[in-house]
Amino acid sequence: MPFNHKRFASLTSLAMAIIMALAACGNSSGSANSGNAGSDSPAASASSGSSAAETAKEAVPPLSPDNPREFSVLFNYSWFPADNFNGVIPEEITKRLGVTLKPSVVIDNQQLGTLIASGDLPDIIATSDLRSNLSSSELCYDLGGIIEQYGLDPNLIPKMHQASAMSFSQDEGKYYAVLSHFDSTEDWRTLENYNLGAPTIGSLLYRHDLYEQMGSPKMETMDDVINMLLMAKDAFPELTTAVFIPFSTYFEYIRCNLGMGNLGCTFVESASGDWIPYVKHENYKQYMQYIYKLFSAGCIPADNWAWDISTSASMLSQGQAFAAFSGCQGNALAAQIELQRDVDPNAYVYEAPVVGDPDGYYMSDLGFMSTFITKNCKDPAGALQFLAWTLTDEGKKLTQWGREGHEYTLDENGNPTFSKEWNDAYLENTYQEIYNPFFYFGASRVFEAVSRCQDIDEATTPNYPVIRAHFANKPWMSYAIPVEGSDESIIYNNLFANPSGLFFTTEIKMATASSEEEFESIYNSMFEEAEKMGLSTIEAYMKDKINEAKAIYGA
Amino acid sequence: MRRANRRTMEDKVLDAIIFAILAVVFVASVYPFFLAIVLSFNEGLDAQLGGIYLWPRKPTLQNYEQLFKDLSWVKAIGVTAARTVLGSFLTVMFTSVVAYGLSQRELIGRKAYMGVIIFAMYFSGGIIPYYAVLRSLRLLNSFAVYIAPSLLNIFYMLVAISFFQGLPSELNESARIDGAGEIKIFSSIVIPVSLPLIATIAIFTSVGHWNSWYDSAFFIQNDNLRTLAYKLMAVIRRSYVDFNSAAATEAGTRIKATSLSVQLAAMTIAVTPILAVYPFFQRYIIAGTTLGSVKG
Repeated sequence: MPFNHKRFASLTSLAMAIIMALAACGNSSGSANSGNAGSDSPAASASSGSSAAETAKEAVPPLSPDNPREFSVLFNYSWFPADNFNGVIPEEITKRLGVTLKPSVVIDNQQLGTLIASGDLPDIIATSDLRSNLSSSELCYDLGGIIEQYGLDPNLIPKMHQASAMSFSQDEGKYYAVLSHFDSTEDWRTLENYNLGAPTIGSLLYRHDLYEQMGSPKMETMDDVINMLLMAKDAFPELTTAVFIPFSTYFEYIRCNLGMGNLGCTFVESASGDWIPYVKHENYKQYMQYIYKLFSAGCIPADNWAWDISTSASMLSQGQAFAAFSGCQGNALAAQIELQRDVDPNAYVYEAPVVGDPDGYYMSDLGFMSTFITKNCKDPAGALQFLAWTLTDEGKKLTQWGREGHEYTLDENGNPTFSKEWNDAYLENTYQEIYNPFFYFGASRVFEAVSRCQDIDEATTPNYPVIRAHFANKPWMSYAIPVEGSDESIIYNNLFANPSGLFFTTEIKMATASSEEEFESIYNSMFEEAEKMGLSTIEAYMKDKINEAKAIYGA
Repeated sequence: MRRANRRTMEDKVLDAIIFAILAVVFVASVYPFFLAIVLSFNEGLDAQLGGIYLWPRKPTLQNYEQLFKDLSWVKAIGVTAARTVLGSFLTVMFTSVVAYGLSQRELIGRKAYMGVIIFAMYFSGGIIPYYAVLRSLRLLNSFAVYIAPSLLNIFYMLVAISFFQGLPSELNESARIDGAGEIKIFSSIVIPVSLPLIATIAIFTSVGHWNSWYDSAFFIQNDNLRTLAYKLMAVIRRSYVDFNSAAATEAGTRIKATSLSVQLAAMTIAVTPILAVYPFFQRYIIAGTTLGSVKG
């Protein structure tokens, strides 16, 4: 049989046609949404505009078990432990409000960007990134607009939250996000009513049992604390003297005591009250010299800059380190429990006292998580009511403390006492499976501090009462940070990004310098380099913006 | 003859050097896997402290229990096995059919087809256009998204074209004289003599399918369709914190990252099956690595 060219060509062409169909860049218009949030693209929804207004004419059903609602939620944090809506707290949310969430958690930091570009957004997005991209009427609902259109309470979102959310909005005067963990200085003062707890800010945890063996050297100044660590280096050479959590709480304890606020304060308040880059603070050089001194004396290991969070944390809790630069809120107790269980039943972990300027304990905080309602959400008024509910006392207590009478009880002064099961779940790290307290879109750091510090014996945390009395949130600095994508943001990130910016990378070189001369040389050249990269430009920009923001916040 | 085979001192020294170098290479290649397995059987906090080299210091099965008590891991193994078997089979079939067609010099428009294919191989549209294509094909959030996009692998297709062109043309001609059509020639003559090629494509495709997490992360929202590699990546990424975000302090102080031991247990679970299959394909892989490298 002769070679059948016709048949051969037909077969090959058929195969090629299939390839082309798979490889071609198809037309995405009119596509069906295989995701979780309806079929209309955000752009289409945004351009239609009138649909929301039409819905507004209808009464908005209140949050109630009789009006079950389901919303898909994307948490844009790969570490976020809320990948299911099971557990005591989610069940109670559904029971009280009729709201069920379908959560998903990204595992790659490009996922949200892809979803934004493709339009396949879930109903709700909780993120700290791409906030200015999402603060656009093309993608998300303007929350003030929903309130107006659906005739909801104009004070549904507190004014301070509105102002803060406007800081990353692309549209003047509009706000698109509900903020979690955003508390004013006045909110923080309420911690004094509870008489317990402290914010998540830098702290030095140390082995108090070993400290007593050294004769309890005095810790009244930062020099005393550094000397105490140097003594520990000689007294306990088998231990790593001090470890730290790289670029997280880092050496915040030293910063705060030197009046420089927490690590997020890239601009700090000077003695004259001006806001200046933290590297220009009068105590900055001293701050770096302390770190250099610890490193050059062999108190902190060079490898520590490459450790992850769990490695750093386990060094103290497994009896391998004398001290750890960590954070307040129960980390000392958690370390002590593991230490006593696994290493030495007579070991104790205390937090070092405040030894410097207590007013240096401040942060500039616009909250941790910003939650957006996307244009794919079919029930924006319902979603907003739910998010606003999480900002209420009832919402905060349920999402953060559990159910009154079960997980906690209140005394006559309103102070909670948590159940043994609740406390055990935190200590045993089973709270996600049992309670799942992560759907806290409007959470308060103050409520969080109260719940986390219930079991702490304040004799072990002499720093807490001082911090409670002085701690302040100064959100205007964070408000002033240039919006992503702007020319100023490029300069800002090149200088201040953690950990890739000029200052963080140079600080490692400074801390690990081989001599004091090298330290000086790196210190001086850092400023020269920073000037070339636009330090003065960003300083002038931030000065104006901070003043503008202070006026907005009434500071 | 016996004298000729006697090994000289020079031979022995040379052999010793070769064995020594190979031993170093062997240890350097195998030890990381061995250590990962050892650490996966060690208590998590203790493993963080280092100093474990050959045997678990605090042996435990807890890391594996923690993973297997979560049924989604079992489901993920099923999904991954299914995509690996089905995906590899279909990729081999599809790629070899297309390659066979393109290897025929008589094919009309062959150069044009090759031009388009090679262009597509070098220039990718990027993740967003790719996502849009998958959406328009209604592949998102379906098992098919694991299979369809990789049905044709251009690189393997080029290797296969080269291989098919190297086959003696007399094979095809004699079959045609005996009355065989193209399908018959391909299935009864070409495929049986192409086993090294097929095995090589199959094993590399299988490894690719087994290790793939990206498609599960980006194109799937249904938890029942998650793959093993996705689950592994999720466990590892739980320790990842973007220190530049407002969440850094929150994560740094409160979130208990997955311990290294659990991460390594997850890695061991993910790697072991594909590792077990490798030896059976080894001889084909060795043969396959030189495929298409010599043109007669």
